[in-house]
Amino acid sequence: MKTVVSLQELIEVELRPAGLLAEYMALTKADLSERWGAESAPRVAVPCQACGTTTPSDAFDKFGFQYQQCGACASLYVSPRPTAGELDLYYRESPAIRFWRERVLPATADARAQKIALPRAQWVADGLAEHCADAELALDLSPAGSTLGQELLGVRPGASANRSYDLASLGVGGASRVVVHQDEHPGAVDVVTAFDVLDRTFDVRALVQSIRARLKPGGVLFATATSISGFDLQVLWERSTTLTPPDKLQALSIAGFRTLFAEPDWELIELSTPGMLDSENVRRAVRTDPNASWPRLIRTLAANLDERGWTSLQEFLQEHRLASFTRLIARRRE
Amino acid sequence: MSRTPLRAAIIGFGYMGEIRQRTVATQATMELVAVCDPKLARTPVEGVPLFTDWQALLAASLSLDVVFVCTPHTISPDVTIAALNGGHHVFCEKPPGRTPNDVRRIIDAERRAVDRKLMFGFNHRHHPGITDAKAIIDSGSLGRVLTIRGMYGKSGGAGFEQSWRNRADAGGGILIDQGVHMLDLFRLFCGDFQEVVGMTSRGHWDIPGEDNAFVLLRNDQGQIAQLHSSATSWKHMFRLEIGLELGYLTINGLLSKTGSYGRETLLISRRPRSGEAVALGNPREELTYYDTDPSWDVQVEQFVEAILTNGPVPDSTSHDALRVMEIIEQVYRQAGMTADRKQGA
Repeated sequence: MKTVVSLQELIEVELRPAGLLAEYMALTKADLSERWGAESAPRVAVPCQACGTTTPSDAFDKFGFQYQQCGACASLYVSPRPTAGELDLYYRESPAIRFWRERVLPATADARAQKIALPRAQWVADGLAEHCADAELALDLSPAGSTLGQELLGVRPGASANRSYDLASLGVGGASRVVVHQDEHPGAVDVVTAFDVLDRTFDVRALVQSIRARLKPGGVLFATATSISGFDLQVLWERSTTLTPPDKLQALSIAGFRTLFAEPDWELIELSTPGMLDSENVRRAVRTDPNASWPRLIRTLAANLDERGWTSLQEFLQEHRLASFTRLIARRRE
Repeated sequence: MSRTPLRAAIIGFGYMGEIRQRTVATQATMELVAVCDPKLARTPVEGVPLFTDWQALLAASLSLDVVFVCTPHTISPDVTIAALNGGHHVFCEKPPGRTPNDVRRIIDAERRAVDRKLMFGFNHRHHPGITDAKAIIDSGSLGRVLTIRGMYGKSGGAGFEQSWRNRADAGGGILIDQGVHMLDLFRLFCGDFQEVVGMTSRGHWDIPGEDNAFVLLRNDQGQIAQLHSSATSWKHMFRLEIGLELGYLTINGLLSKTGSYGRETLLISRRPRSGEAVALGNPREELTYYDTDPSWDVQVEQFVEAILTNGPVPDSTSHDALRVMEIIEQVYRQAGMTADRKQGA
């Protein structure tokens, strides 16, 4: 199995400007309260989304959503949670989601295209060359408004656009002629891309099973997600702005990902945490709220590390799969 | 179509023989029926008969299909030729002999042994960093290979001067022993080289062959490659840098049994896009760490596949072996090493 370390400069503010982020969080909180604040709002208890066990302990409550931590694999997940239908409705109607699409995404479009979408497209192109060179057809399950093709081709978020595109047209070079569909092809595909989908889907295990069913034997899945094993989430925990429901209904652990994509159904080709923001997120949180009850180690790091030290720490975290941004390549076994 | 399981023998049961025995054990399509090593007093594999004379093994009624030749390269051509003459498929470890003429003799035997398969142990081609780099290059996403620079070194160590690798009849020193792998990789990425310039030295170890070699190569496409093969690097080292039109790739470290070459990594970087002034001279890099080395298994699986389907051996062929030995021959000739190479540079 492979682990990837990514070395580039990336700062949180480029992707989620503080002012816009605060507004988005306020809108989210208000909307969640209105939709699901009442005791009578329907909720469904679910098992661990990675390993399926039901031995959790309470982790924390955020915006009225109870996060649980799995006693077996340490994955984090919301339970009970709104029904799949209610969540669908939320993503279609929520003012917070609209704000994200119409304000945050356009304001950060250049940074996202250069620092997220382009590396992802190159990752997929390289991965296809390495692991699925004969692939012709891919299915992109990424959330609407932020698909790989849309971001790289400069399609305005939310705009209705042809959702099929040729991977080579994304400017990642190479000879790849894989045609990517959002979901227009009912048959089996060679490749599935699922960026930031596992975190928000109602039933992760069911989604993974359905992805397997769509893939041809030997086909590969490229997925990105958030890992609760990541340094910033472990330190910041409920204070992390990343862990916001319902966008993050779950954050699986590295052990959870291994379980989810275990043999005999899957071969996990790559499991990496090439995230760039962990150390910066922790550093900024300590700077913003120096009197909070930070662990002694974190205070020491904040007091003693310079820029180079924080960068080294981030590289160390990546190398040991301890950053929170996770990506994986899994091959469907026969 | 050959019957399965294929009946295999391993001749030479040192470091490589043990590795091959473990590989054979994982192949459902192959069973080990004999081993041979003159230094052993009893069989190293329970239930498998031991021979101390390779000629006796080949003459025995074992109904052999496959012979793994893991002997020193001073005798591996003779063993390989005898095995091919006996109608067996042969997997021969590198180096394939002491000189190109050794390989030519093997090729003559291969031509006579119709439908018998012959493969050489250039397993580095199947290390994960190498296969991923090759796939990326073949995809064209980084453009054409412009330059290659390889460093392959070891520290020698206790008993180094007495090793069979450094005997007077070994045909050379570190270049033929270890540099041969890197030269094979150069050919994997660039094809054949028409120009060869080499220098060798014996600056430290009291051995007949060289303990350092520098080789400069260029082909008709203008691709240029440089190798430093060393027995005085003190730290085991493997590093292969590939410069391309649109980026660069670096394979550093090599997964091995002892881990002494460091964790195998592949660094990928692309030239910044036009207008991306910030990253100029300091582009984004991505470093892949590998946990497992499938090279031994992959090579044998390919070999078995070729046998069972009577298909071609996909790589590490006698042609590859000959070409790489011709490069080494040119270097040794330029270094003034005598034909039998009993003298160092």
